[in-house]
Amino acid sequence: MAKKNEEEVVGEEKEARLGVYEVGYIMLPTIAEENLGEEVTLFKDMFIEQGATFISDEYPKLIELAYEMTRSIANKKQKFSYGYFGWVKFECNTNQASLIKDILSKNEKLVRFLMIKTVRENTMSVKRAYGKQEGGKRRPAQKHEEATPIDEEVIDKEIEALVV
Amino acid sequence: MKQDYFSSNNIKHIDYKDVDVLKRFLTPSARMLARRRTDVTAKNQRKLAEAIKRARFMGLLPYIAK
Repeated sequence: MAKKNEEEVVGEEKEARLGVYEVGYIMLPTIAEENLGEEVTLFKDMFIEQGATFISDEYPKLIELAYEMTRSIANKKQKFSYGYFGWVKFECNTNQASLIKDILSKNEKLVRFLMIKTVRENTMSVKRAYGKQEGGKRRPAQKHEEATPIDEEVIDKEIEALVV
Repeated sequence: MKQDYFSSNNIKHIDYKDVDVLKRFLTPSARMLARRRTDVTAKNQRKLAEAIKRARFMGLLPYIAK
């Protein structure tokens, strides 16, 4: 009996466990730029409807995919080499997360999506000039020439010698 | 002296969207570099491998490049 109670407690804990998730998605390139905003708001509303707390996101951008992807839409396989790539970060519990995953897999506006567990903080590293550090030409160290005091008499004599 | 790129740049989480960073650890044919070439810690190498695989899945990086 005590074991059962323990199991119930563990089950409840599991239900209540909150986590930060990130969904990266590629939307169909066939969506017109004018309608993209509308599609994105619809997409984001779905998370809020499921009870997730919105953290941050990036508006989708049209990118060239590294390889051709196939996706069957309405029982027809289609190939895509471009797509609108964006991401959404949100907080929800494990049950909500699995529901969101199911909904996303049925969404026919998406070519592909990836749902991962992440952290609340920004994980993107600050852009640095990588190429310049290694490949770039290094500036030669400036030579500090010692300033020698100019002797005017010596210079005058040299000039006279040259003139004569 | 070996130096971990991620520790030295204070990168705690290797993001799959950070393609510029991930590309540093790929060969011209888009294969992952071995740990002896990347000089990162074992823990970060595992994180790096996962990030690269995620980026490949999302079409941000290729599986193979000719």
